[in-house]
Amino acid sequence: MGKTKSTYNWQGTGNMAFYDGETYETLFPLGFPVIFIDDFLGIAVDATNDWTEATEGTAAAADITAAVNGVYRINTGTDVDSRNEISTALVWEAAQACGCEIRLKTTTSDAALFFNFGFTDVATEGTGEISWADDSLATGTVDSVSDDSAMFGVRAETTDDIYALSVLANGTPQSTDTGTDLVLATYHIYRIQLDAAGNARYFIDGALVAEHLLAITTTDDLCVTISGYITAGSTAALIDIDYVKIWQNRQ
Amino acid sequence: MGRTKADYNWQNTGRQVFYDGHTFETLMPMGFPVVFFDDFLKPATDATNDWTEATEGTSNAQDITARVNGFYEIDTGTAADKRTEISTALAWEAAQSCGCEVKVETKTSDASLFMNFGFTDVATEGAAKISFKDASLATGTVDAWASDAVMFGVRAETSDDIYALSTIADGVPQSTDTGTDLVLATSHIYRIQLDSLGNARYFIDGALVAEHLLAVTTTDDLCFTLAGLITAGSTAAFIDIDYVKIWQNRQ
Repeated sequence: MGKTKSTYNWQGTGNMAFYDGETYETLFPLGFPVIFIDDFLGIAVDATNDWTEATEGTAAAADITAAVNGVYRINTGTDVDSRNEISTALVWEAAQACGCEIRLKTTTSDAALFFNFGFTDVATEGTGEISWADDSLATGTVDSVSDDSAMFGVRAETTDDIYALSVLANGTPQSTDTGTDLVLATYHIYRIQLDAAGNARYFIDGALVAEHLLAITTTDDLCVTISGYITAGSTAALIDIDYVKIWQNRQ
Repeated sequence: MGRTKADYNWQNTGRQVFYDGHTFETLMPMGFPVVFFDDFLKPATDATNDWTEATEGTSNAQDITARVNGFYEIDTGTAADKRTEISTALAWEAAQSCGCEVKVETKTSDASLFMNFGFTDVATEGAAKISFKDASLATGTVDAWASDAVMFGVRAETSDDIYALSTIADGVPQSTDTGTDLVLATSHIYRIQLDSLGNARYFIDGALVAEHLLAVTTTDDLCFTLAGLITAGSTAAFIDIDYVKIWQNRQ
């Protein structure tokens, strides 16, 4: 924890935000009129009214887990290629300069975890699919399942490198190694900020780690999704989500 | 309502907070990254996902009641020693300098009301029990059911004095008469601020009314609870909660 700071033109957004001067957590994106914050402080997630959950496979689970601060835990279960995910409604778009920030870590095991999180135009892809195609991150030649998305992704079976990913109207995706690796039990604060032109800027712990120009269709309705599965073996991976914050201008 | 004010080191918390300069309501604890607000503005409380409710006795009831601002009303029912309570998840701890604020009033009747509210390590004690023991406030020698708790409490059958109460690791509890009395249909803003050493400071309407050093175990997971029962007779007491706000640093 650091001092509370505020900037009138917060990291080039043109909007004012209050943030923690040490962790760069966005404390309150004051200049954005549309704000969604879930710190998972309730007893359980309202999967009827607040979040959409989608679960496949054996021994998979997803819900708030008892922990200080409140944490939502995704347990991928023990089946390969069976995804678990949590998504908001499709209420965000680049035209409104939407941004999202997620603090998460993996726990217990992540050796075979493939997961994506950020903005996408379809909450739940087909069976066994998440927004980005499995094994695509291995080569750096990424391939997506979604038509439009701007996300972070990692495929730990191949490499611990965390990538910034984007795809615009089913075109050729962009990918950038953020320089940050997935490390078990290590939290980071991930932020994706879109602008009205559809450009995407990716931040980890307050530092700009990637920029994709014309990353996404500006008028596509987007949700924030966090989704994952294991690509090999039978050891469940666990993802602990501390909070999700999303904001945008009002249409 | 007064002017909106902000202090960078709000009542020695080291955090920036916006507050009402007249009522001292905490408008926005900006410097605390983990924030929970419930102003009870919905049609009803989600007792599955948002709050835990526990009810005993006869004719008691609890839920959001139709009233400007939104209120959560606890009706203790007409049976003595039957508690009714509402609790958050166990997501708070002194090590993160958690604080809570609740605006509450009694109405219709409170002549036999015994009520505790604040942080405790167990949401629901045994049957007919709340966090501090009945009758204990009568003598000033308090006794607790909770192992760790920092709360306000009043036992109106004996005295209208509102006490600041705390207990650490099943030790000898501390109690302080706050100097404020329970008065029917009179709301106050009650705040408890813990620091990372486990010290507790109690405020009523912005004024420091008690300080308990080493009040609670710093690493105990705590919930916010408001619990009440009648200790005599058969006249139900009513507790109207205007809002609950809780905050802390991020772990």
